[in-house]
Amino acid sequence: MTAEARLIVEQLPAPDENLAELLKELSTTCKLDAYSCRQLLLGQGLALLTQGPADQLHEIRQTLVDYAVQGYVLTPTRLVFAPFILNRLEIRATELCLMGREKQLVIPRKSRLLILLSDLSGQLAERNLSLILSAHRYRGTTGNSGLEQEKIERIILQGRPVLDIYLLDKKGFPQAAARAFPGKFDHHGLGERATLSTSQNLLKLAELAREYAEDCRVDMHFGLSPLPGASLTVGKENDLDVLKKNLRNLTRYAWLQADIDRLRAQDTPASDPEDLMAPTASLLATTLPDQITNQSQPQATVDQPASTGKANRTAERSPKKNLPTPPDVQHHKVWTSPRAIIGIVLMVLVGLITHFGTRNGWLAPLAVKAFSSGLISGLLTISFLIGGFRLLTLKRLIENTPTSKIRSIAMGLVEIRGTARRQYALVSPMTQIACIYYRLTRYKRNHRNNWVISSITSSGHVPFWVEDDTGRVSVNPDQARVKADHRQESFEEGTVAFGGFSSTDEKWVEEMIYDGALIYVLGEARVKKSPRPDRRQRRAEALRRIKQDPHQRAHYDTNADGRLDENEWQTARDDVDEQLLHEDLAASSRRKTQDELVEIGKPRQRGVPFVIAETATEARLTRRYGLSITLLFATAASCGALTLWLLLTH
Amino acid sequence: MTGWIVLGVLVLIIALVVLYVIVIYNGFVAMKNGIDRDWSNIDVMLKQRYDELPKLIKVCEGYMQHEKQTLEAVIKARADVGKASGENQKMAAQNALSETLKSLFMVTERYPELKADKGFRQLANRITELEDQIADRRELVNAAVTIYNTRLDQFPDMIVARLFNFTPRGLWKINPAHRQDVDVNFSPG
Repeated sequence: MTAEARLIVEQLPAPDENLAELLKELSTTCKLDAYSCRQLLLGQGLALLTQGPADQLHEIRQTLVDYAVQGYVLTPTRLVFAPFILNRLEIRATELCLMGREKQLVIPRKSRLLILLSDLSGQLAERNLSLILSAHRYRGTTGNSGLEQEKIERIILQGRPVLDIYLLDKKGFPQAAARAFPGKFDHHGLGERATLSTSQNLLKLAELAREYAEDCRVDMHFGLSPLPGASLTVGKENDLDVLKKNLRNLTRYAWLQADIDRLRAQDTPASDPEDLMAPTASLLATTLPDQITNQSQPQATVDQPASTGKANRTAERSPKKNLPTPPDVQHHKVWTSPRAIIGIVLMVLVGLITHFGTRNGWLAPLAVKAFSSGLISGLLTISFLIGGFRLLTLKRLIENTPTSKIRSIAMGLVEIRGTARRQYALVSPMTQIACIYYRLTRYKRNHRNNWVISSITSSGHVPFWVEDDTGRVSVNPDQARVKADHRQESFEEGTVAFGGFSSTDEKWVEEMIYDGALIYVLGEARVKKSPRPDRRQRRAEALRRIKQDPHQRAHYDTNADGRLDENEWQTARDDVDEQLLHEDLAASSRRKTQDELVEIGKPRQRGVPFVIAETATEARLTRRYGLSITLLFATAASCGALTLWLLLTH
Repeated sequence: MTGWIVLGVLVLIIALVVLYVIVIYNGFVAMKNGIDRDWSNIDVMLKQRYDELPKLIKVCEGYMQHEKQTLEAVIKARADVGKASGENQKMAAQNALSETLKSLFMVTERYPELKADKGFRQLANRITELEDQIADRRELVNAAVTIYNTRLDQFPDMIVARLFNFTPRGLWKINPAHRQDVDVNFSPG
């Protein structure tokens, strides 16, 4: 039995001319999903491409090496220890002594070190993701060189930095390690190097350790690399569970880096240890800058905490079997939908009234009159009530519909819950993450500095599977009311707005449901339309082929006069009919499975909802609707009270 | 003027209450019809099973010369399903048919040639598949009935239910014999 191993690749900062060929090779020979592979091969750092038996992975690795992509097949070393927390340090002539409460790490001169400077706040991952999004959106996918090293270091120091120092033995195995948090160790041990900034002291400590090392590699990419069990989770600032988890993952990440360093050393023919430990461009192993400047820039607050979570999910995923390319995405302008047409008509009416009303001077008195008479608040009350009742009806319908098991769904309105799986190799356009549904909305600023929707692109026409313990069924999300949990914004300059302010005139909002998410579907189950053309069409097509093919024509031209007379045509028609009959009989002898026969889509009956929601439980979904209903009714009550007051006072 | 306003407010409140009652009432109607539909959907599956049985019996007859009793029991149970009238009688007949089928599949264990027959395997798989689906749909009916009955007892739905005479529905009930422990005996003979 072969052991389960992992194939980790050094990502390419930008696609090169060989990438398309490599993806094709991976897709055809290695049966990996080209879209997911592309996503994992591009970026900064390391990525888990796939896992499985080691011998198979070595074959895939060879393919990668042929296309100048570095890959490593490894079974991660079991963690023997975690770094201790540094309390104080002592500089000695021949060694550097890092001390914790009970343990100590002695770094002698000419030792071998692995230093990790990491950010636990998620800002680094966030900024990197924003840059990638910007690259995808504004420059295509080329030229994505990622964040510069100095910028990375600055972001780490502005976030929640932590410094890990690992002492490695001659073979590259970790011997001992210390972990330093800013302000948590006695900085006087740094001597003249000590500064007033706690985070700068971390850098000084790293510099000091480097001085004692003969070979030293510094890694600052924790959280950027999609590596399983070694990724960063973003939670609330004081969430201890998240912090513990991140520190555990950071330790795993360090051990994995040590594993990869050893493999890299084996791959490199150079015997010079300097060469072996030299940072490679794609790994982004860097040396710390000698001149460290004081960073006095204010800490940026990023308004998209979910994005790192996405990166984490990506980390847990390996490319699956080859999926077909999705059908072309529908680009539709918002004004083509009936709602938008009504909206435009209303806007034109309001515009006309405003224009003529302002010119003739009757608009302001009319508006005052409408408001003071309670007409406007009355209309608002009715609108909110209608909205509230519509949502209430939907909520009760969801609550009142029992959940069916997929293998036994009956035709008609059904409710199912399960895991969403891709039918096609669909990836989100901005974040390039494997998903089953996305909606990309483009906003532009108008002259009043408000964001206005300019276009919407969605994957509403791309069906996906929903699986439960009993089977799977196809879902066609066209015209569904989709509630996606994950949302990502991107601005023109590639930076997420700080404090909600951005000077750009365009923004993109991507909502998506990941491949593998738990989802809820309420829709109509019906027999899937067969993609196979009916018999009449196939007959016509077969006869057309005979007409166009000289060999076939000659076959039926029994009197060899160069043309097919009525009798000869009849023979051809009879042959075609017989052939089609055989085909149909062969097809009907095999029973179709549920996933081939049934699909869930928008109910044909008007007013019956079609809901797709990313949610773990139905209760969570109905609770959300309940909150919205409460809000709508409360607003309606407020508007109603205002109307009443206006009516009574005026 | 104030009188009109008070009247307007009262009308609005009454309208809201009526709308709420309509939402609840429509919900009950939809649930009631949904339960009926779910029962009918079970009937569809039972009919499919009923139609598949003659083929299965025919295949079995060729091999099971010494198991006439079992086969006859299946044939009789199937005929009883065809004759049954009324919901309870139909349910009892279907349960009896399920029992005889179980016995039939147990007996087939003694006939390796029969088990190796491709046609038998296909039919047996098909019937097992149908049995699974029937079980799922019975669970669905029970889920739908439970939701409906819970609504009937909840406030304010119970007021609407009593006002419009919505009555509780029965759950699918198991044959009491199936609640007993299975006697497993591994001793020879």
